[in-house]
Amino acid sequence: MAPGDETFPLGREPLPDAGGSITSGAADRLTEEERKRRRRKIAALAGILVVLAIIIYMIIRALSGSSPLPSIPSELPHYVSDIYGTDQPMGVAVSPSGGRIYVTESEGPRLVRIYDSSGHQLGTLKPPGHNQAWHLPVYVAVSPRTEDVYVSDRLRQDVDVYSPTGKYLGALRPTGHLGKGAQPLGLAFGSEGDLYMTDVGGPRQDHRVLVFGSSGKELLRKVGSPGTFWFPNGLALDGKGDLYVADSNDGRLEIFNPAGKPAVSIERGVGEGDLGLPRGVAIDGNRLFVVDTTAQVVKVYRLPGQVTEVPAYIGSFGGEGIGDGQFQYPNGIAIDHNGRIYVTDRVNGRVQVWEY
Amino acid sequence: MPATWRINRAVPAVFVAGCAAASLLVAGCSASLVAADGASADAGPHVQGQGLTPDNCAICHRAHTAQAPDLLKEPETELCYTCHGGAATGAATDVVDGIGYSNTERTGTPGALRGGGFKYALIDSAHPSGQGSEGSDPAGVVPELAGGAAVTSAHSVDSSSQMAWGNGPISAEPNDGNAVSLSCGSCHDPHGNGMYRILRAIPIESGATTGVEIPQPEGMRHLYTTTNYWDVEDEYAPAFIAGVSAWCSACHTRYLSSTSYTESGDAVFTDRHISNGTTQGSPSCIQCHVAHGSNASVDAAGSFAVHSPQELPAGPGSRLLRIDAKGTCRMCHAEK
Repeated sequence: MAPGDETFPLGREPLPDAGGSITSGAADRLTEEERKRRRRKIAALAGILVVLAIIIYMIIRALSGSSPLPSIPSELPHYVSDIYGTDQPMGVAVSPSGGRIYVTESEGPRLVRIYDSSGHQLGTLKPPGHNQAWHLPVYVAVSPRTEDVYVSDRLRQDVDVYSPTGKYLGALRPTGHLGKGAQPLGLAFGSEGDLYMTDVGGPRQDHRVLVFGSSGKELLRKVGSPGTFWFPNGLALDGKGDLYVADSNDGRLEIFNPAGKPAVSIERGVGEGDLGLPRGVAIDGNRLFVVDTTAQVVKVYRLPGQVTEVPAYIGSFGGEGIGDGQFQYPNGIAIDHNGRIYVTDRVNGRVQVWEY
Repeated sequence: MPATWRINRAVPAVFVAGCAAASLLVAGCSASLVAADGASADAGPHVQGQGLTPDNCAICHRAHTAQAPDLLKEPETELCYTCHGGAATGAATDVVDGIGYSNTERTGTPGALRGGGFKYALIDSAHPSGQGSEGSDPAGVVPELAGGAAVTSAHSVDSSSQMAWGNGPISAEPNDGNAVSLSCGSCHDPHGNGMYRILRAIPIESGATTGVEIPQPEGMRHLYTTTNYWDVEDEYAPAFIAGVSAWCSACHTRYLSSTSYTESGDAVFTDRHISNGTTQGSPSCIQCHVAHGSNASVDAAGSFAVHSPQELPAGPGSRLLRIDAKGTCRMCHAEK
């Protein structure tokens, strides 16, 4: 061993030479070297195992399409992409399979445009025999039972119905003392296939929500007493049958229990989670989404276990602008079975896609 | 007997015919069609002295994070269109399409706004009644179209610069007017002012110094559509007509005239048609023109070119007239 090759415990100075001997013996030095080799081996092996685990994880995820591992969900979604091609889009709905996205446009040809989940246009819907300005699709919903497409048209005072293949099936108009003269806006289906429709015909005292049976013909009841609503727009129902109504001009979201009794509401204001001009409403699991049109965002709330509690505000996504993930007067919202979120971005002329 | 949905598999034509046949009310330069107690445009968020709480202000304004003048969240016109635009998701008036909904009667049928729309209008400008070859018939009507037609011209409300023809005092030097930029709020007061069309007494940028308060009779119910506009029997029309020409003239100053065949002293607007009529059947601005936009055509067949005030060539458009070409003249004057 050459002079100066001695090894020393880390952080220790060599002891002074006291008659030619040193304190560390040869056996100790060998043991230390062995330990270091072992440490290197263990580190290399751990690294290999980590790399293997990542590779296996990615292979399984690619094959299954979803993560097999538990993950902590983000509280707010992230922007994915846009679907362009609609003129001043207002309403949006997704077929139960998620394969078709229906978007209403309020200017231009005023068509309902059908896109696939990649944003390619598949076709259009339009009531027969009308020029472009004398029909005006506003909101759209898809029947979970038949996949028929229901399109509200306040101007025509009806709901136009199309088959999944795009065939025009006719116009629904409520009759009788409850329904006469209805001017439909928002549409939603309950889990049993009941059709919910907001009606803004006549003075404020007449604005209400009408509920039709799964046959689509019988008017079962109305929700809201005179003066409850003022231009109600979007509708949604949770898994328990609670009804969420965007009472737009009152600036609040009203929640009703399955019996149609008012429970709680999220009110208008300038505080966190308060609303300005709520329009579109959607529910995904225990998350509630409300499009606040003039705030240029979608507000997200966590639904409580009981409808008697006000949903807890989580946060919002969007913001004013023309860039990716920014809105100019968003209006409608729909969520597919994978949790993919579609929001009509009216003045920007597009539908934005968000997901978790 | 429960109410039901009726599925009408072949009804669109019937529906359109019904809508077209419906009678509607309108008048005025302004926006709305809806009528009555609560039918007034001075309702909703536009109510004078009511609802002025921070929560209600929050519909349109932000105190510290506004993105547009007047502490507005957004530029004005698209903000207005959020309720009054196509689909009318928050109002009884769709000023984009020139459509009005009754907000007094559930069964009221949508129809044509008297003021037309900024992109479409339902003014059957080619088929007015009352165009007698023997004489005038100011009680005639301009029917409604069954479907909207694209406007040929409109007041531009996108805040772009445009000419306010005739704006300014009598001028011996040729002067067409002054450039202004208009938005909805130039003419309408979004906070309400007690008037059912919420017209400002002095339109913004008009340069006027004297306000014009258009009378509003007690119980005023009517707004005026293209169909009843010439209705001399209507009890409320005179009140509006009495003030509207003076109001329009806040911007179009030199168009207002109480006499004909009298030189005004202006190099451009020298001799002018009487336009300050204040009674039904007398010539006022709205007897010939609409406020928002019109689908009429000044260069329709059989017409003559209508130039700008200084006789500069002008392209096709409506000049915001309600009737094609010289049909407007023939509403009151026998064909020569």
